[in-house]
Amino acid sequence: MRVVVRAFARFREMAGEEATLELPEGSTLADLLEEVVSSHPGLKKALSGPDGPIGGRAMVLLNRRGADPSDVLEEGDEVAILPPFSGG
Amino acid sequence: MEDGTRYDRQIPLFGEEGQRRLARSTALVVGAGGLGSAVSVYLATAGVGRIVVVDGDVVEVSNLNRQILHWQEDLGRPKAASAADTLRGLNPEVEVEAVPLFADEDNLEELVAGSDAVVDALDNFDTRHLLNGSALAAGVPLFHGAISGLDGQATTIVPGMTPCLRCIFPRPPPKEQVPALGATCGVIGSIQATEVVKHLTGLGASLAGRLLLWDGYRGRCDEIPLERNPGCPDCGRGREL
Ligand SMILES: [Zn+2]
Repeated sequence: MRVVVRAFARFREMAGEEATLELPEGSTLADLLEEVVSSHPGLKKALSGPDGPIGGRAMVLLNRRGADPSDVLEEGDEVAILPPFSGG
Repeated sequence: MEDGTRYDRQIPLFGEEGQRRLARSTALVVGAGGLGSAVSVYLATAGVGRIVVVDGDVVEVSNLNRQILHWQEDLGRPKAASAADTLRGLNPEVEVEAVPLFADEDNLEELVAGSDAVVDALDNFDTRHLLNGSALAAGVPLFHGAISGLDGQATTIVPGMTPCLRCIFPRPPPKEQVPALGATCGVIGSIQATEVVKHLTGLGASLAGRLLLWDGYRGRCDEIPLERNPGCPDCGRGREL
């Protein structure tokens, strides 16, 4: 199946603006993120934290809403990866 | 209004009736830091009748690169009191209430219920999620903003209509001190203030259902369309569980 991934703000320099990824059926959002960081070491470094390789240092939207890493992806899904903006 | 010409340059935008609507409105600004500075200054100068500023912190010198509500002479003072003085100085027609408390589950309910617009000018997602819940429960629109470095984001949450903050960001990011430039707080806080004024006067098209991303590093804007999460624990099916 094919899934479209878009990166925003500083993640663009690390992962490019938009890519279509081919993934095996049954892949989860966590699988997709692993796939993305494995081909973009800069992003991997930026995201790694205490909770593992994607240690919560990215906000990830699946089909325009918040998602869980265990969510199973489907053909045509859209994923957005953006840095966490938490300051005020 | 004692000074008939104060709002001359903005009344063409929304008429005398729009100005009266602003004057009749209460805005709750939660957080008197960088975002809260920009938002509350522009809401006060626009003539929003009552502004409630909530912050339990005191002014430190490291705040002054971005928190324009607070000046050198305010060091050590409660931010809420310092904010109220600055806002009254900018526009004596505005009633300003200083609440020198950190927003929490107990105080938010009453504060939110008495307002027409709730501004998220917080610096952490745990309290943002509490504020989201209070705004949803009271049915009051929530104007979200957040920054990091040169970048930031904003959206407008209308209870019952748009996704809520937890639909978009279900889990808080790790607690980290983020870099913050005053001008970035100015950009995002000004977008939030624009959204509040538009909402209160009925002007324009809001950021409802759209996350605006400001990429200051590259000088560009993007937006992500948003959808509700039917299982959202704050606004969806998950709420009853
Ligand atoms: Zn929700």
